Amino acid sequence: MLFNSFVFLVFMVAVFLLYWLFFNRWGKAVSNGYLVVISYVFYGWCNWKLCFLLFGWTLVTYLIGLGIGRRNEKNDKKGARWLSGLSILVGIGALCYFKYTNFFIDCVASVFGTTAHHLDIVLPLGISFYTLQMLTYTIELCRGNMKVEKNPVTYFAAMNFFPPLLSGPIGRAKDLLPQFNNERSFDYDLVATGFRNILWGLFMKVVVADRFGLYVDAVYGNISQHTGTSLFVAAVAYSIQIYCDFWGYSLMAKGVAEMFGFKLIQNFNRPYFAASLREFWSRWHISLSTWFRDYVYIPLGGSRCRVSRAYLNLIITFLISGLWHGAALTFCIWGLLHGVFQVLEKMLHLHKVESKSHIYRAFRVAITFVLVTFAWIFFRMPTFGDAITAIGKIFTQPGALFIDSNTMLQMALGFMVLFAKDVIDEFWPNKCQLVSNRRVWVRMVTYVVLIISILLFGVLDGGQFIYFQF
Amino acid sequence: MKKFFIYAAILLALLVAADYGVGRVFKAIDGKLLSYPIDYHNSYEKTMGGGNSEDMIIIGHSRARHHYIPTLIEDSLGLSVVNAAKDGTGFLTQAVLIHGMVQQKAPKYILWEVRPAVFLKADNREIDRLTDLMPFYDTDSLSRVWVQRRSPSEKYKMLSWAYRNNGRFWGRMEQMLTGKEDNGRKGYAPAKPSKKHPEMKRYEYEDNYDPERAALFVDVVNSTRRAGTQLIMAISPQYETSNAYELEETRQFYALTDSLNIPVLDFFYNPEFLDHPEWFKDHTHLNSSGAEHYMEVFIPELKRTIANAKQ
Repeated sequence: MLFNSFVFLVFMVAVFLLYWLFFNRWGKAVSNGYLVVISYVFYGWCNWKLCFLLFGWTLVTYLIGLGIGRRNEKNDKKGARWLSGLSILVGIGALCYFKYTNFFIDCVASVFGTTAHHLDIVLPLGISFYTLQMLTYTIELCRGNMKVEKNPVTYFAAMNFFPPLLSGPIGRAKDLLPQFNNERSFDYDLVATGFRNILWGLFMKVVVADRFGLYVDAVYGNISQHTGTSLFVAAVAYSIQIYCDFWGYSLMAKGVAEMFGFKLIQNFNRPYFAASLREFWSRWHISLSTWFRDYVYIPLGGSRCRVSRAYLNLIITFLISGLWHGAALTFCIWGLLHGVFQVLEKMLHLHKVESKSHIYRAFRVAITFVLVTFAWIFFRMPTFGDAITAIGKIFTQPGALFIDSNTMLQMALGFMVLFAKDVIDEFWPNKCQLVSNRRVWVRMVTYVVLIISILLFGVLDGGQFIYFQF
Repeated sequence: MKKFFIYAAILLALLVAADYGVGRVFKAIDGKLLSYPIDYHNSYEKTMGGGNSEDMIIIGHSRARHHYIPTLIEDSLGLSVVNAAKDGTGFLTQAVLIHGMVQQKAPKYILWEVRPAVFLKADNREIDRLTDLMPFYDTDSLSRVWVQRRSPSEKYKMLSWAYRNNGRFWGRMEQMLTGKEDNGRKGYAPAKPSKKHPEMKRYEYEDNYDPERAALFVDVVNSTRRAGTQLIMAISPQYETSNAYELEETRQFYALTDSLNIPVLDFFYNPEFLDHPEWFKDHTHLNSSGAEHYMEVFIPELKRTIANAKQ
């Protein structure tokens, strides 16, 4: 079920009303049970068979969690580590099977010069996200940073909670579980914040991201026919598209969770205002970057080791991050580029922007945006060859810009709204509030304008969210 | 919770009012645009609303819009002609449009530009472009049926006036600001010649015959006959080679037009055009120079067809 579909609108209204009017009043256990049921309905809407995988993996981590809890009680650290390792093995093993089997077959076939015969494997939606989320439970239990959850209903409700299930934000068990263990009461402010987040997220997705997507698809879908100028504009447009697409999804997921009384992590913090790659990753897909920091980079040794080793750790972490995004050479290159860029930043002492000069900071923001946009080309293109062709044309074959006036006007409108919002939030965080204005009538008018804009300018029933494919 | 429900009810009431207001504004704009010369953004409204009084109306997608020059046809045939084609539309939209148009105001002739594989099953893009029929949702029953086929929830979404005008705001504004002056092209949109000529390629089209499209075509033919309109099918040149004529959907199209006695003027792989890549903007579209060459060979055939039909 997609957040930007009509079916979800009906689903959301129904489950929201039932939750607050009935189920949540009947106690925590009933409320959590209800959340488990609606989460599985949400997840299995398109393919109910995938529910078995989700259920199976949740059950495995729940049972392993119980085991780790028992070993912790007996102070059996080694046993707890073994069980934690087993959960990592099962989780990553399943992820590799579903995501990387055919990629591995392709690699072997290309090495031996034979024809690749792909296996008929359906990639379960959201597997990359919920696998990582549940691993935080067994790992943190093993580290002794949280208590074991013995109630299966609470555990399933927290780990299968539907808003972040398909595309994040990747929650931490130690943040999620306590919320599901508490009694919840209707908090008007939280619900209203949730509604606002859903509205903004939907606007960013269907009015901005999908509109930019139309241009990007038209140009990138036919690289040979388009000039370097058009490919350059498409590259910039893709940077905006992926940001609004993923930020929009994360915001909607956060908003939906808030409407049920839960808080999720803020996954984006205006990443294109970052003045370095390091800062970019502290603002982009925060839940994933902190996951990789805590569970890959630091265990590898982080930065508390030899300088060369620290650089290698950084590159390895981003290479794995690239591979996590997709089983293709292009994603590896994308990850590698980010790793290398950050290493270069560190080597040149550019990773911290301490200058107070606005001009210098603006210059660094622009450079960071260019580097990120360059890397996105590899991320977006289906093959390495296509990415190289596009980059080659950008630098060597300028020409007339492909213009679809209607799409471009709507892109401009979306961009202006996005830019204004991000600038205000970045530099004057508590000024010019519209959706959060103190006056009810200002809020109401803003809501109406946003909803009518979505209906008038949105690409409705458009494609899936980009991050679903990961 | 009470506060939440009160505010939700107020918001809902405001939304319904705003949505209705948007609908009224668009209706007024559409009404005004009907008096403007035909162009991309008002061609269907004029056509469906009986706003075209010409003897011949050209229907089709971008190839029709860029390939048929009404003024040249008018000069040769002594008929008034208008090009009401629209980029990106598919057979389904055009068929429903013709069906609705002849019930409002039937022209003497309809020239319908298609491709040989007319009865190829619709892809998502073609279904999506049924949005062009949204303005006629209330007035034309067949439009309503096909718009509802866009998605199971379409009939609920169509309750919103703003949704009915989705994606049409800028186009309307553009035409309001710039489309009042008659450019004299009567709907024809010349494609600029490009420096780079298309390369000859061979395409393998999929065979996916859709009997429902054939049935719709028969419906359209019958409705034009009832209205006293002569339907003429045309296929303009394309710069490629392919398996188009080996496909079931193409065979069915020719068998059906033959049995229904509908003339087909087919220039799809015309050898003269295949020798002139400089007449093409890309492999599917003629440029303005190519369109003029096409009219030179097409108009005599059209003249002959009309003369034969009169006998």
